[in-house]
Amino acid sequence: MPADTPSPGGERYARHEALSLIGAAGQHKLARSSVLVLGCGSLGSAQAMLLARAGIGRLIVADRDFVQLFNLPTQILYDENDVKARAPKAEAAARRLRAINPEIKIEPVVVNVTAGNIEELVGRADLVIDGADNFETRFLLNDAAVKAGKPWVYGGVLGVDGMVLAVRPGVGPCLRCLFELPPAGGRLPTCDAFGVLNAAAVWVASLQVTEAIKILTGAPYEGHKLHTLDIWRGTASPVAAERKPDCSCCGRRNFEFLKPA
Amino acid sequence: MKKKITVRYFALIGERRGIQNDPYETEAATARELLHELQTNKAIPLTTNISKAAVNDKFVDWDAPISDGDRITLMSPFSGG
Repeated sequence: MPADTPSPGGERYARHEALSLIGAAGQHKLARSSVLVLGCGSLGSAQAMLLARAGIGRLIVADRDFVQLFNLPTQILYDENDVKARAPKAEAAARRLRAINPEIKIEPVVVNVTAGNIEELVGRADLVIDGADNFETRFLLNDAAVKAGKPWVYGGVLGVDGMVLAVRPGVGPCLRCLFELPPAGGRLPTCDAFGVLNAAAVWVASLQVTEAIKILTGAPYEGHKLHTLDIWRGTASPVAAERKPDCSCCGRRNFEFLKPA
Repeated sequence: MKKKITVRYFALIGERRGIQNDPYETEAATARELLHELQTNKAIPLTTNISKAAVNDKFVDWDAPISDGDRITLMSPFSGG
């Protein structure tokens, strides 16, 4: 099958099509969809793998880093060969994803995300899934996605805990409705210092992908909530969230992170 | 009169990390007053502009009232990924 005409049906997607929540109609919507995986670390690896297997028609995988040995326990797309080759993550991810599903388009982008290029990146897909490892990228993404009216799915992981928020601009709260500013560097712990359990990252990524699939297939909206996860205890708690009318981003549309410092 | 509440610290550093239901007595009238009290009493590193409070699993403004029996969750966003 040519890569430019992803066509669901048949054997590959039979289990997803059998799922009444997706069905053949949902699978066709996924085949016509494009997703930007922004960051291909522990979250992005799992997201990209699940989205490729789910038959998203076009996947753009963006990352600035190279694969390193300490990535292998938590970043499930990569292997020893990528470490030895010092492969850029986006390119190593694309190779692996093409082997997983040659019927979809995979576009690797080796890029350092900045205010200067985020809007172009966001413009390339129907939805953005957050695989970033820093606040700067997420607040840039929030501005760019809200400005473009494009859905994105925030996910963060730390230790054995995680949180997920599907941002539907104009419908529900954006990241800045909840967290006005990114914490200053060093103020709060990071995975570098605090560690991360691989299963926690995959759990967070799985919930992000589920939210993405719900949006792309047009599943009924179940209200605004931020999910908090603690995989060590096996608990997931939704916290109800509302839009902030005077939010700097989605309320007043003052996209300050997109402006040059 | 002191109110008996429970506080959940979601993903903070050190010994308060992951504490689910920390019994706490307070005279704080609002989430903001509670945060200021906990900054002093428990040295939590959160401030209002980088974090969020939820009362009984619903996000609230920092000036939202706190009542006896409430379950307060304090959290900041995660950067890891």
